[in-house]
Amino acid sequence: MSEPKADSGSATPVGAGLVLRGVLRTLGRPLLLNATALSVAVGIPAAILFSANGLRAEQVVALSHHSWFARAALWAGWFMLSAPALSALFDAPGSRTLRALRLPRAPLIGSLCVLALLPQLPWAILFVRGAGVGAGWAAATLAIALAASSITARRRASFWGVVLLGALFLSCDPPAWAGALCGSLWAPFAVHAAWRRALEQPRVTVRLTRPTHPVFALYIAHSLRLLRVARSRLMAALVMASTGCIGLVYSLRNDPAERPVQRALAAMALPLTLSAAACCAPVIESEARLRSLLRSLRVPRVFVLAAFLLAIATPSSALAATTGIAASSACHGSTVLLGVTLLAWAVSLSSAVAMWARLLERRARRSAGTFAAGVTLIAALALVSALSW
Amino acid sequence: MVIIEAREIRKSLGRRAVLRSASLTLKRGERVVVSGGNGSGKSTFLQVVSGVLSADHGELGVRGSIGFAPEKPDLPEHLLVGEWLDLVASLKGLRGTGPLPFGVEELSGTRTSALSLGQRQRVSLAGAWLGEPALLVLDEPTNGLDAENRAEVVSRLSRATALIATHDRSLAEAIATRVVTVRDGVLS
Repeated sequence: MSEPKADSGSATPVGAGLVLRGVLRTLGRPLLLNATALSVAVGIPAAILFSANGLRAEQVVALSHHSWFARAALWAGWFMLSAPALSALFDAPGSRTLRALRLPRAPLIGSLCVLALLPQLPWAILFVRGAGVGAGWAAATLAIALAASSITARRRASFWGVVLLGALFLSCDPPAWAGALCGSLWAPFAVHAAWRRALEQPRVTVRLTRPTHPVFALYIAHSLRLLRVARSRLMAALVMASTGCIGLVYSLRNDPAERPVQRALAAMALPLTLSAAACCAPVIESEARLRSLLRSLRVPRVFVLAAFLLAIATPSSALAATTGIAASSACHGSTVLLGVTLLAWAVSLSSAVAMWARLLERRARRSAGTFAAGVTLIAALALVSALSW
Repeated sequence: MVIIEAREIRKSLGRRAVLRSASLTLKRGERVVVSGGNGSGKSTFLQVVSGVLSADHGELGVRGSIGFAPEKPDLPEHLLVGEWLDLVASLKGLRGTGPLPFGVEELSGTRTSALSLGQRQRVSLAGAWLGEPALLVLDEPTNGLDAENRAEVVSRLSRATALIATHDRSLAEAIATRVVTVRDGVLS
């Protein structure tokens, strides 16, 4: 179905600059928040991996050209990270009003595409440094097109074909000019389609709950918020924990006998703390939305607190347990010992971070800076205690 | 049996004294309608009675379970309607939702963010009614409802114990056993 045509009768035509300003003001902040969270999540491990004697961007890009598996893993990883961050462009508060204004299409899509580049900056920088500006432009536009098409595909099944074609194109390892050309043509269409469809309900909605104990019911409600609304934060947690895991596994392979448990605790202190911190805000929001219900039903505070802690601890605990299994295979040690120790470590660190977030949430003068300072302190204390053990 | 015993309740929001003196006794089987102008303190009183807000001063006793439906249904947008009702049932200690009123069953697979105002109201009311609580506290329960659902609200309320804030005179006439008025934060 075609879009209703704007009435071009009496109103003054809206200029491209005005459209860009309107889109930036309405959607810029939520998208920037998502893009910043993503950049920080990717930037911390990247700073370690790409340090002086570490990897170089050229090596990563070359690897993606030589190995199909490496290319697939890189693109799939980035797609999983960046697609949730891009969704704010299409469903942020205020986007309904923008749609209702029937702004001229070309400037609107242009403005949306400019904003869509924000979350892609780390990916573009990798390819610009690795293979030049053309490759960077190709990577960014193709990533936008792929992510926007997947958002549409969840509402219109036929778009999965477009996503598949895009994936096939990438799997052929196209030259930079072909990628840039295809991305430049595909991205505006994909962004336009996502803009039109994103507010529709996804075709497949699975009911994931049954009446159960209040603690578990609350825990599931918080976890569903993480899964459905804050996927970019979950992905950020995954990236941070995975980086810690990779570092630990390499370290244990080089020297498997030297205090593996202590090294595991030290290596995972910062990633696990940051993973828990990434999950705090969505869980706090979830609890805030339920506050009237919780109070009117007089739900015991201890239940509310238990569900809050469980929801924040679950992602980092799962990542810690996986790290424990991977690390034990690297040092030929006891899986149970490393797994259980890292699990307990994750629970302790997430509980500390969650309690700090909760304490700040209760205070009127809370800020992101204060929260970050507390999280840094928790990570530092954890590292010192692990090293001095 | 007395369900609500409220004496000299006071509540300020910020610097503004919203409730200056509110006293009310409600017995089982009564349906008390709270009327009053916009901003007179009706919703605040209902929120204090239901425990959403705590009173600054006064005595409040509520016996039995409460089903509360706020004026603006605050449904978390990341949940499906069915998941929201499962959550409410779990928090009420129920083993299941049972047959749902107001035709909410057909909405159970819909995201709460996709609901219209009337649908949100129906879901909110269904949540309040889950488990047949001893007391229903309903703030503008017929907001956005069509005639059919409005009739169901009237029919169900006529068998319940309830404290209701509404501007809807015909609803008050149909169900109220008593009407009290809040004026400038004073309910007597």
